[in-house]
Amino acid sequence: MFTRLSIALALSLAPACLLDRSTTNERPEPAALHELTPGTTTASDVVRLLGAPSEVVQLGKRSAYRYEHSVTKRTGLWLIVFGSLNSDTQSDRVWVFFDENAILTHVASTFESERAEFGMAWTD
Amino acid sequence: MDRLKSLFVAAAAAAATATLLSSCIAFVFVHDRAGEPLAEERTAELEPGVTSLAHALEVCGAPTDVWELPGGACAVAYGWLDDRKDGVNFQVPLDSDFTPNLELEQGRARLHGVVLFFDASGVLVDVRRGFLKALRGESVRPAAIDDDSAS
Repeated sequence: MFTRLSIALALSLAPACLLDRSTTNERPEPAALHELTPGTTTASDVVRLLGAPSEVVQLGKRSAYRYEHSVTKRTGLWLIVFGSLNSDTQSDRVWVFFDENAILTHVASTFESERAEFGMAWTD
Repeated sequence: MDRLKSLFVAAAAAAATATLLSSCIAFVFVHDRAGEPLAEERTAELEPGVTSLAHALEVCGAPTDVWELPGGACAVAYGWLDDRKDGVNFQVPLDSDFTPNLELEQGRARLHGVVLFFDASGVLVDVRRGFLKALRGESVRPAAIDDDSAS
């Protein structure tokens, strides 16, 4: 009897739980960054290696491209009058800066998308 | 038997009350997190008048946002979010709180962080902290670009 009640309770609570993972854009390949050489690589080379950027920023006569892949993990629990909603978004991001001749001047990269975590809202 | 029946009725009444309450009142814990805070040790390495854009990018990594400023200057921003909303809600906040598309185009408004301001030669001139949207709003984008070929 107790077992059946426990199963019934667990099944009744199951629809109140949610685990969701969503991603935005393709991940920039870390290996491709090794082929980028400031002073030599052109904007065309960068686009050939990394694809179309997520954003192009004009900096006077210079420019910068942003490549970004993000992962969002959401956890939800809803028990009648109690709710817990947690969302964690982390990104892999690459910025490439070009001079006025579209020659690469700077590269900056951060890879943190794997740090996105599921969790309850009250946890750190 | 009567006692069991009373218990059943009480449990059913409690469940019905709780169910009805859930449509108008809820105890909600909401936590939105995006990105990682820029460590103090990193920004401590940055020195206005000395630090170059290349060094700042090497120390701090890829920024969240970059925008241009007048005179060939630019701003490089690092933002993050760690927002908690705990308490009693009188309306189920599924629309406003559980669709936090923190992809930057929509999430920037809520990001807190550090903005590094560089002059036209790529030397750091200022470091400011606060909400990125507010700090960006204080900056004025140039109206037009000087085009040598047009003159």
